[in-house]
Amino acid sequence: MSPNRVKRKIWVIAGAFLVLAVPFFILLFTDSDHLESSQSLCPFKMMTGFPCPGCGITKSLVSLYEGDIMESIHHHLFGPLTFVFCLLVIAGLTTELITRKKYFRDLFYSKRIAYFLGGSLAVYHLTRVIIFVSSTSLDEILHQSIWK
Amino acid sequence: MYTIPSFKNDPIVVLLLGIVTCGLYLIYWNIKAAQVINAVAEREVISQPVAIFAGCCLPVNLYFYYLAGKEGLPKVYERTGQSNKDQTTLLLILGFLFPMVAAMIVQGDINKLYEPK
Repeated sequence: MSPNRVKRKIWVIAGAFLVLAVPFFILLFTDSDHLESSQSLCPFKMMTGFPCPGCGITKSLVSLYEGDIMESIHHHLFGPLTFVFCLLVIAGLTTELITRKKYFRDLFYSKRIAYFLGGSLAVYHLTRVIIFVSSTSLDEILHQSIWK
Repeated sequence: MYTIPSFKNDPIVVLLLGIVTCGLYLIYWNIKAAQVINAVAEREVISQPVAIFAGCCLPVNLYFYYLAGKEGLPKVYERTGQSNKDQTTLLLILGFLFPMVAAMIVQGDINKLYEPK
């Protein structure tokens, strides 16, 4: 395994760890009610008031850590999946680094799985945007951005 | 054997479509841009799963722009005869704050591949 590849795997593990750690610290230091009402830190939502495809995943992970799976799915359908995926990435790549062998290449680099999940996410996001637009007034949309 | 797929867009269109579709277009854009970059580099610099999830997950998006800036775009510059410049930091910052703008920059560089020499 080349040093470049090892370095890249360490970065990916660190990224996955960060994805799991940030909601944990939010859970520790923030009230759930405050999380619901506070300004989203997503740059797209801050600019436009509309959700991006990844909006809600952090809140979803916070709810998951609280043990509320239904609330977690309500925030983002892919939140629990992100949790499982990050755990798999951390465990899989750490094992690969230790044993210097490749175990999960077929899973992580499967085009079929990626296209299926990407397509599902696109459909989910499109549905979410349509529901958001039909159920949210312009004033509320502006309120979710940084412009109001 | 890698054939460079046709993917010429006005960068402004990338920006507008990214905003109008609430980021959905960027999932498609990431896939196509990764295909072009891989074809130019003649190896898989950005895998398809990374390209797809870059459109919906911020850490993966940053990884996408890191790969594009560090390993992908230098090959594009080499092919188009431009001087080599490292845009990784700029793309990482823009990828974090305004992914549509980072996509505009990459699209602008990709477009040069299709200009007559």
